[in-house]
Amino acid sequence: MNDQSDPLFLAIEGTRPSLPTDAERERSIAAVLDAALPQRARRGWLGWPLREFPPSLLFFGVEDCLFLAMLFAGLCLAPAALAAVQNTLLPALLFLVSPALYLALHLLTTWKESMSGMLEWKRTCRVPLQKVTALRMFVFGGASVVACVAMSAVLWQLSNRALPFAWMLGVSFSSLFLYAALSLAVQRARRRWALFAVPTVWVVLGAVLLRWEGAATFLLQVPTYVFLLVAFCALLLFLGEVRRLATSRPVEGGFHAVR
Amino acid sequence: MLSVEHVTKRFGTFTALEDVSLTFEPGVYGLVAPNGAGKTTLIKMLATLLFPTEGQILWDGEDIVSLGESYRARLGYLPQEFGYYPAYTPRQFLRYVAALQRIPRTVADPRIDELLETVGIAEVADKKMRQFSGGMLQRVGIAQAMVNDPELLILDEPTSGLDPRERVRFRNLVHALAADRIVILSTHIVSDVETIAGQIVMFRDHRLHCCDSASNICAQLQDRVFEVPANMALAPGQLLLSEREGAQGPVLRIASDEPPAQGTPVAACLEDAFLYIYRDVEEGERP
Repeated sequence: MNDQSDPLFLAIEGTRPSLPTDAERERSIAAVLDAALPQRARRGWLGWPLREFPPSLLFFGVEDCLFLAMLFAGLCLAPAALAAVQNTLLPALLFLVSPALYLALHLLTTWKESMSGMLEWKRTCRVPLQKVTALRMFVFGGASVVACVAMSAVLWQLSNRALPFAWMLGVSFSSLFLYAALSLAVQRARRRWALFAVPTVWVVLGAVLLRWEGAATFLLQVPTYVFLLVAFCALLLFLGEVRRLATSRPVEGGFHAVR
Repeated sequence: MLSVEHVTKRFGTFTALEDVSLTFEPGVYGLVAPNGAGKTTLIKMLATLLFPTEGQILWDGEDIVSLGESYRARLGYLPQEFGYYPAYTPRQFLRYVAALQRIPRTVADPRIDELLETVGIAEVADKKMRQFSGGMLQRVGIAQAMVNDPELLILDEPTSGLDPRERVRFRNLVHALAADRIVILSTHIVSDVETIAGQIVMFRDHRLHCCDSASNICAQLQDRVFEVPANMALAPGQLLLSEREGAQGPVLRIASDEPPAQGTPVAACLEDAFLYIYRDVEEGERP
């Protein structure tokens, strides 16, 4: 049988490859299992590790930005409130100031993070930085929806309910989600101008609407369902951009970096 | 094991590093080179902040960029310019870091207490960091890099701005941490690594110059370093390394193939080797 002095046995043994080490065997088994078994179920829509990273830490280091953003949004509401009382320019101002809270939250937190000197280090942590940012954008959007509803309600009352509330909500939501979706989409360019591109466009658009005498008439002619449809489509685009951000692969310099 | 395999990094037409190959195993490695030599570029590639233009960096045989989170879970990184949140205490900040490293609170809290003791800031753990000195902030930085008990600890210019006592404390701390992990220390202050780094990695002309022990590097200058009076004119072939104040006045430390007149032979140190190796590099010029 296997006589270990048999030259034929020795020749066969000599041609056999050496056995893998324990570490190599474990790695091979892990690779086979990873390829064969279905991926572990995602933890929620963005795969958020809630157990280890509670939402309360989402705004660590930028709490002051949240307060400043609310202050800014409140200040933007003032001219709209005045327009509502005087029943002039309300449609244009409603469209213009609806994204105010989102704009302020986005710009202030981005600026604060870039000035903190922590961005690069955060990219080396386990929880991907883009996931944190994506979830922040999502929460900003949610908070802005609440703000838009409250703002529309206040303006509706101040204007003695001169305009349909549903129409006002449609204008407000379409403006908010268009702004939010465009501001995230433009940042794919990773250029310095991308952060300010959509706010600049919004200011210019607002100036045009305020100067154009027929703006209110034009906006009032647009049916409620059109605004709501635009809002719905823009919302889908916004959610898609948030998801893209959360699941994007790391790039050199990070998604905050500019080329 | 971390291995850098034929890594080249270019930024447009500028080559920061060319064909660098290194292997890191548990111990302390000092990356030593003048400013602009490529140390931080390599550090950032090891930390997955930059990607190689050519070549690859592997952890246990797998590309670190592809590993993604599983590699970052093993990594502790202290960048050269480490920001902080002034309004927070070290304990609050380290809890935040632990969350970013996916460490549950029940595990993180005792680890944070231990780290605060290790880096010597347990007494000020609940004071706002705006009150801290540079040395104390640096200790917070080291603590955050250790929160996840990393297998790979990368420290980029960690002693910049520290006073001599803080630097000694830091060296002792790194030495204690390096027992069973890879510690890569990037610095242009050679005295910081001379005593604690088992291997010194030096770059020149954007390429790897050497990866060897400090004693072997210094051996290049064995019997070639002398101290001479400061008023002695240097002959051709003699290189001025440094000046110091001797017992009887200022003296020059020079490298010379032949023993100079009035010269006293001295043992070469790593700083001598550093100055000798980079002797052709002008101030501000990329080596």
